Amino acid sequence: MHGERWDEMIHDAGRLARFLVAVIFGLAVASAAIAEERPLLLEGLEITGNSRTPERVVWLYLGLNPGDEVTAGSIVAAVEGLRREGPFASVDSWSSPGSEKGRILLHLDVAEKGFQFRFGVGFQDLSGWYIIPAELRYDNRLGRGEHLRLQVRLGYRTGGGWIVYEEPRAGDGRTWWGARIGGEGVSRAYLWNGVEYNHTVGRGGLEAHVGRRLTGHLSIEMGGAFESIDVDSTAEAAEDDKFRGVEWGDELPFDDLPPGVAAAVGEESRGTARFDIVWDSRSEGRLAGTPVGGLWGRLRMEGVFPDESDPYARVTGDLRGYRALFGAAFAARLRGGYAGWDAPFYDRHYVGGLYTVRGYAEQSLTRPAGDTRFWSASVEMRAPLAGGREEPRVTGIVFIEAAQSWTDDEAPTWNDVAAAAGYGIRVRLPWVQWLGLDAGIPITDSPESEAFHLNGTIGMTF
Amino acid sequence: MRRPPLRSLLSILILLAAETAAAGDDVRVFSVTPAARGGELVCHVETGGLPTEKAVRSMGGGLPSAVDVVIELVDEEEKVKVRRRITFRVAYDLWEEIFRVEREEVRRSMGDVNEVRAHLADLRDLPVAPLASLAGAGECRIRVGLVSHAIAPAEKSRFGDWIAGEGAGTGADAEGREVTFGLGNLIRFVFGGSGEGGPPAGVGESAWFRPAELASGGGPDA
Repeated sequence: MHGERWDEMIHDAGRLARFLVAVIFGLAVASAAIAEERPLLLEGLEITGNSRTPERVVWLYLGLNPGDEVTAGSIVAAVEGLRREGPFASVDSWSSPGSEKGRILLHLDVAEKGFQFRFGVGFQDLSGWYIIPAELRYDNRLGRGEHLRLQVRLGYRTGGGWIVYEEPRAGDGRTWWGARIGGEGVSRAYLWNGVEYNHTVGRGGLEAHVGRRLTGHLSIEMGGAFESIDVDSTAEAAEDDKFRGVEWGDELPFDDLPPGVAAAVGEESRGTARFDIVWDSRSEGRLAGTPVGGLWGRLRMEGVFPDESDPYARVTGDLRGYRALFGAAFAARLRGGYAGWDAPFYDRHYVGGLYTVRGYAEQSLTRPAGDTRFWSASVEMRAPLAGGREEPRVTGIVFIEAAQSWTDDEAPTWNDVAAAAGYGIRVRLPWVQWLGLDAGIPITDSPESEAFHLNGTIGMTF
Repeated sequence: MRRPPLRSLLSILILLAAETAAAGDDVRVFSVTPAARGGELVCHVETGGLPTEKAVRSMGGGLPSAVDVVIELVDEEEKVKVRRRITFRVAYDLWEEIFRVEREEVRRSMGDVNEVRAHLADLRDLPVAPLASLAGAGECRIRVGLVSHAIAPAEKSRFGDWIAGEGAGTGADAEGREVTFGLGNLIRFVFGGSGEGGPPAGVGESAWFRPAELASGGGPDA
């Protein structure tokens, strides 16, 4: 009897001890969790060095307000955003205790941007690679965080200059607007009778736009332009073709131009109006330089009103999705568009090349006069090859994609779809970010009988 | 009085600017000592000025600070054979009133800032490279730089969008992307390495040594 009571007591003591350990452990975990997650309150901002920029503009670029609850991560992200997109040449930051425990003051020591001379490089789908031998910038002169730049652009198929003024965060910080004036000439490439030709289209005028972020994911933008367009009356051979007796630089006279191109020759003035709706729910988390989840989509609707010909509409849709799976990042894109029948060749749609279907030369899959409808689809897998997983030094890519274009009076068939697969590499450089090379292998017939086509690129293609 | 040539004037100005910056930060590397530990080349680093006054003020409010220790193994031709970055994250818990120093998910608690100073002043067994990978190496030395962050960088930093076809306000439908850079960026890239994390506030080097001798029990040259 006495022994049974002793056993019961030991058993009960053991249960009590286990219960107490569980409670204490649970409290400790909860306490640590609470301590780590407890946010701080941002009491205010102390800025030094801002001789032109008022504190109001700094708050807009930080994306914070006095009284906001913040964590270390949100403060650092806000300061990095200010450093990257804000009006300052440099930003040093630290914090100090506020008026009571749990409150902080954020200190910023900044240097205003002065006059900058910059140069650069770029690539556009319709005009290829170009250099920027000179860009003069005088940002934030008015203390509004505005950008002002004069840019000269020179490339194998493009040349021109623009004066651009932009306010990325106007009003309450959710509105942006900008304007630019200038002009450029672009040599549009097309295949005609088996030979590649360049046809110069000059464009100049004034463009303005205004946009607003409506919610965390949804934004809209409206724009308009008055411009003058001048299409050359001749084209120029861009390659030698001994079989056809054509040498590089040979002129293609007006009478021999493709019909749809010849119809657009001459000068024309016009006005345009544009409306965009953009949805952006991409995550901030990254894998191989790619969002680990979310969508980005844009619907663009344009009206074009030429002086001396009939108006027409253009509509394009672009939808992208991202997902991290099995240690790699998957990205998919679907695009489509429509242009009115009266659209000239330089406003119509072309497929082939880096942003539609790699494996084919730029715009080589569409007739020279362009098409009024198109779609393209692409799926990429991106994996880190060297360096960290989020923003690796080297990223490998494999892709498969397809595209098709046609005009209103045609019935598209699956036989006309161009498809390609391939692989590529992206290297992250300190001030260029991503620089890459893709090799596309055509799966369907190629108009240039290439076994593969190489594309250089800045950044990811989507 | 003869006016000094322009190049000398520029050198003096650059030195004065560097000294001014160094005085403000006051972060120093006093010594770097290589050692062998379990088949790995490691180094012991003695420092001064950590954590900085800005970091202490930030921690006082509750935000963590960080110190990046950038370790380079260079050969006789001053070529970098190995580069590593080790981050020490230091935070003050306002409610428990203790400091926590974290390095690669190993966390230590400390009672006051003097303990933190003592810990960061004597950093031991910082990994450099496996000794097996340096079997045929000649004379080397270890260079250490310290980068102090008053507010610890975010673990997942937000990078700019480098994805085509998204520029707001371009009005153009053509896909494309461009990058521009100032002359300073180009000079830093060509002459100053990656530039990530900013220039080190304090730099120190070990004496020359042979990794093979270290593995067999020898030490760096005097």
